[in-house]
Amino acid sequence: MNRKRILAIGKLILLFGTPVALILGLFSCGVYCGVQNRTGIARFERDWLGFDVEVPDEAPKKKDAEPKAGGQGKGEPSPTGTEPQPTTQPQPTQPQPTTQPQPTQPQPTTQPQPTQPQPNQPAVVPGGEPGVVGVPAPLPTPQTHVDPLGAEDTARLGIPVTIKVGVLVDPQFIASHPEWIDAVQRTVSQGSEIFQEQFGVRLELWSVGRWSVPEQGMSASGLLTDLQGHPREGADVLLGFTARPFDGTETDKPVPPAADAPFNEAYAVVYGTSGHRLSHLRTLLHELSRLMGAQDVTDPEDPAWISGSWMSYAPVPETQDQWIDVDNRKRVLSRKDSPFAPAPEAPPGE
Amino acid sequence: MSNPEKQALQKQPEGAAEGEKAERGWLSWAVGWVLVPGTLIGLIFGAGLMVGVHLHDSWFSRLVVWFVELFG
Repeated sequence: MNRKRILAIGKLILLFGTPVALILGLFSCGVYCGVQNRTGIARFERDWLGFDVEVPDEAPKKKDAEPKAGGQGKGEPSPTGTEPQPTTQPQPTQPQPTTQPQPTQPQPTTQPQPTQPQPNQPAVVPGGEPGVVGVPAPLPTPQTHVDPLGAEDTARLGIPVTIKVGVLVDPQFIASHPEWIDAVQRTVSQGSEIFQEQFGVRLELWSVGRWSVPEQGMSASGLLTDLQGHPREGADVLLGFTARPFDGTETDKPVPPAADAPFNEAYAVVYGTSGHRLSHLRTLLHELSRLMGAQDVTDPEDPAWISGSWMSYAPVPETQDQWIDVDNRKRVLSRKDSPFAPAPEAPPGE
Repeated sequence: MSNPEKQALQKQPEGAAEGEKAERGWLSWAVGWVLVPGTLIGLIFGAGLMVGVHLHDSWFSRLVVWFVELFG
């Protein structure tokens, strides 16, 4: 009886166990192949089948892996010199752009270290660079270099000021800028971003209009006098954009307001800088700073000239960061919240 | 029905049945011995493959790898 039972049980085991063992063995083969070829199969699933899977790093080799227990760190190479085991999930790094609470266009970055531009370097003419034919290289967003300030000036920097800027453009400017309104907007906007970095002053384009002046034959003082005859119509300052080149020799400009003057000046002519695609940006910064007390740097030996302060007449490439020397910056900061001169009264009888 | 007609009728199904039997035999053989077992084997193997790829850290996967490495 026992022998018969044993035989019967044995037969049953063979009868049912064999297919189970076959299935289990087949399944285990699949498991082992999957473990050994994880990377390739995952890549196949991702690329061919469209599954949302992460492709792991290369599967560990035999005898070197010891994948269980995590004895060897996954980031450490195996001692036998075979393939390394990096981490399974590489984390993508993300750039960290500078963020500032300004809703307008891309903000310029700030660099605490002063730049050392080459003195007397001629302006770069875009499109005329050797080897470049046709479309010039895109101009990067103008950036400004901001120096650290003392406590008092830092407090002044934090005072929010908005200047309403009215702009008149002469016929030459319109002829050279078919999209002249956009050009003015772009220039004022970029100037505003630089002014916010340097002085905490925002420029608001109040109005844009045509300026009927002769294209030739007028001096700088004549242009300014003509500009002062136009109404500001609610703007704090009125700027006249002209396509005349800024040659750095204009001497018949009005004197900037003194430190204790009750008002800032309100009229200025903005010339173009030859060779710069943003032809009026640098001069805009120059003139607006003058209106608020900054003084021209005329000595080529002056460190401000050598470093390319926009209050100097030093020719600088357009790719150089806009920068103002510390003295002039302090002057502007001290007068940033002063009112602008009222409009000149019309002579009696007119 | 006349005898020749009966004979004719008897011959036709026999001939057709033989041809059909041959085709069915081949087809059934292919289905029964190739297709179905192959599908079953493929499904079982594929299931193991998926377990090995996506659950490579599970106890079963580690057991299998350990067992294979005993002989490797």
